[in-house]
Amino acid sequence: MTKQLITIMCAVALIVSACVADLEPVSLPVVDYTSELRGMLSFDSTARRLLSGVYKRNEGTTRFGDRIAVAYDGQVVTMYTVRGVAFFTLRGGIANDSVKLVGVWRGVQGSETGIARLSIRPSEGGREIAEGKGNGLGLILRGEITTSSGSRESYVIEKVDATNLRQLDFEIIAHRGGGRNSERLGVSENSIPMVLLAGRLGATAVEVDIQRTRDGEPIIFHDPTFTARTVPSPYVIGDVDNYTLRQLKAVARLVNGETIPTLDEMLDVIIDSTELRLVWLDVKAPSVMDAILTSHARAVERARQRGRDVDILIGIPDDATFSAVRNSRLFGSLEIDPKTGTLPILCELGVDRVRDVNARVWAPRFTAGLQSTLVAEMKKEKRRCFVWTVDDQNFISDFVSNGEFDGILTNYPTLLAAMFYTSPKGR
Amino acid sequence: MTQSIMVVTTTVFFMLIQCVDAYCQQSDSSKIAPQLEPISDSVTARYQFEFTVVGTIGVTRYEDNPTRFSSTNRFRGFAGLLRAMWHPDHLLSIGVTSGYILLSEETFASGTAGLLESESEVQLTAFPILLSFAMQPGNLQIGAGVGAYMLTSATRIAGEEKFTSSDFELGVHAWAGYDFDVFSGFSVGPEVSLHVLSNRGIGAFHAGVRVQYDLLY
Repeated sequence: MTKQLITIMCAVALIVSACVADLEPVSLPVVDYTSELRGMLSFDSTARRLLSGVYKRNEGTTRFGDRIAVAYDGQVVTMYTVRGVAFFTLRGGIANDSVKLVGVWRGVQGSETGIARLSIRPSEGGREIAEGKGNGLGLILRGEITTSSGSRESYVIEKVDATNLRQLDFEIIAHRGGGRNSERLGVSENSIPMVLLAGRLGATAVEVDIQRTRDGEPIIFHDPTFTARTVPSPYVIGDVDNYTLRQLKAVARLVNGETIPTLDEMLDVIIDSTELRLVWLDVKAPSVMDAILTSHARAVERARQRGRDVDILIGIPDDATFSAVRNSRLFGSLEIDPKTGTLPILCELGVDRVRDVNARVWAPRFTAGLQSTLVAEMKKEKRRCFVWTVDDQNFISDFVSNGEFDGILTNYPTLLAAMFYTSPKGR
Repeated sequence: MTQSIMVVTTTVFFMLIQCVDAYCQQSDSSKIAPQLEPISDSVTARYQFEFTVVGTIGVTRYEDNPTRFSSTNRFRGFAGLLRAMWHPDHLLSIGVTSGYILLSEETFASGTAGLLESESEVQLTAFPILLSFAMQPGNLQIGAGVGAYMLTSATRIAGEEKFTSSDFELGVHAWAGYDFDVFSGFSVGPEVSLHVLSNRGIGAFHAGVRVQYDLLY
């Protein structure tokens, strides 16, 4: 009896101590871009467009599969692969009709990472890019990549499709501002650094979550309570709306050290410092709808002043939020889009509710399937259709190949970007 | 780090239990072999119900500095615990532990860079509700508890009203104490203890005094 109790006690203690698995951060290798690219001219928009497209693997490592999508985010050239679910962020330059690209790659579903050094010889497309001519078809990127184990692998890929991937009318919507904490991207979910990274992960749009503070400020945070998974600060525990904004700014830090952003701060950064085309505000605190709509109106005006074409949508995930939007005194101030005649609202409820609130986007859950008839109806009414939240490769494949949705919300924008851009529909 | 401490603590505890178990077996054998002297009177003549009040001071260690204004991750604290144990059979006792633990308290002076135009305070306390087990070889008692800690954070930032917020976290507690008999049923002695809330990265080591009363002695 005694021994059994002791054994049970020890087992319970061990289970309790083992129930938190620390996620070790993934350290990206450091690249000295200044010395790597010394004496080279920076890419202009034409060079980035010529580089953009779908490539096939000719030689070398097979770790990234046979099809690779190459796009860009600001000054950075990006690559996305289905196999290994990897993204590359590369900086480059041109010298003597040759192109050089150097940067890091990271597999987002694991911890594999390394450095990529690629180049384009003058005769293999370098001259074309230097002169800004042609469409880049047939250009060959060759070089090597290093891996986490330190090995070096050769890599040669050839451009086989000249589509400018960023121009495609399909939204790759990154969940929680770009990705979850569990992906160990080095930045926290729903943080400012995360939305700055989102474009490099492949996203053209982001979904961010809105909670409220005790003093009624809309903040960007997913859960209704603070846990060690999201906010490790020991003084920050319990319900989010127990804290004022000043308290949170003072003592709360996200897992990678960032402060919790307000809705205004988040929208300002997205408008000013990213190329994201769409923001999905997932409202989890309908009680501050007036404050949310005020921030929305301010952000729309800011985007207009800066010439930014970004669609900021008020998300309606449930009946309470639906009522809050309809009953808000600011509902009438939402601007109708002259092209579609719709309001900047994304409704996750049934299509009747979508029509009732004249939402620009209908966003059903992925488990409801392709819903082709309803999607067609919505599109006929000039509404867009997104589906959420699709992470599994098979489901993504199904929605990309057989669905008619205009965008997919995912925790893996890198995977979706790679699969969509390299699919027949993407091209 | 906290997990490592927890695993080491559990391992040490397990080894201690093994020692005690070996000791118990010696004691059992004394019943079968009456020619052996009993090892201790206290082994065969202990309480059935025991109440212990423990007062300790100690050090709390967080995994990282708890705020960006904090200059350390170690803080002084204190605890007052009450333990009620039932002694069903032999040396093992089972019971509950509860009480109050001040894990840390910080005051940031007015003018602290980046935040404060007036003095601010933060405090973290815990109210443990633990299922506890203990063994008593002689006057030594070693034990462990597993259960919930209700953490309460009290924050007053830059002149704002003081707010509190609470949540439960799983945690474990291990202790070792020694009892000096004072008079019939009462004993007093030192106790050292460790609280670990691995999910929150909190560890607290305490030392202090225990006063024990053996009901039905």
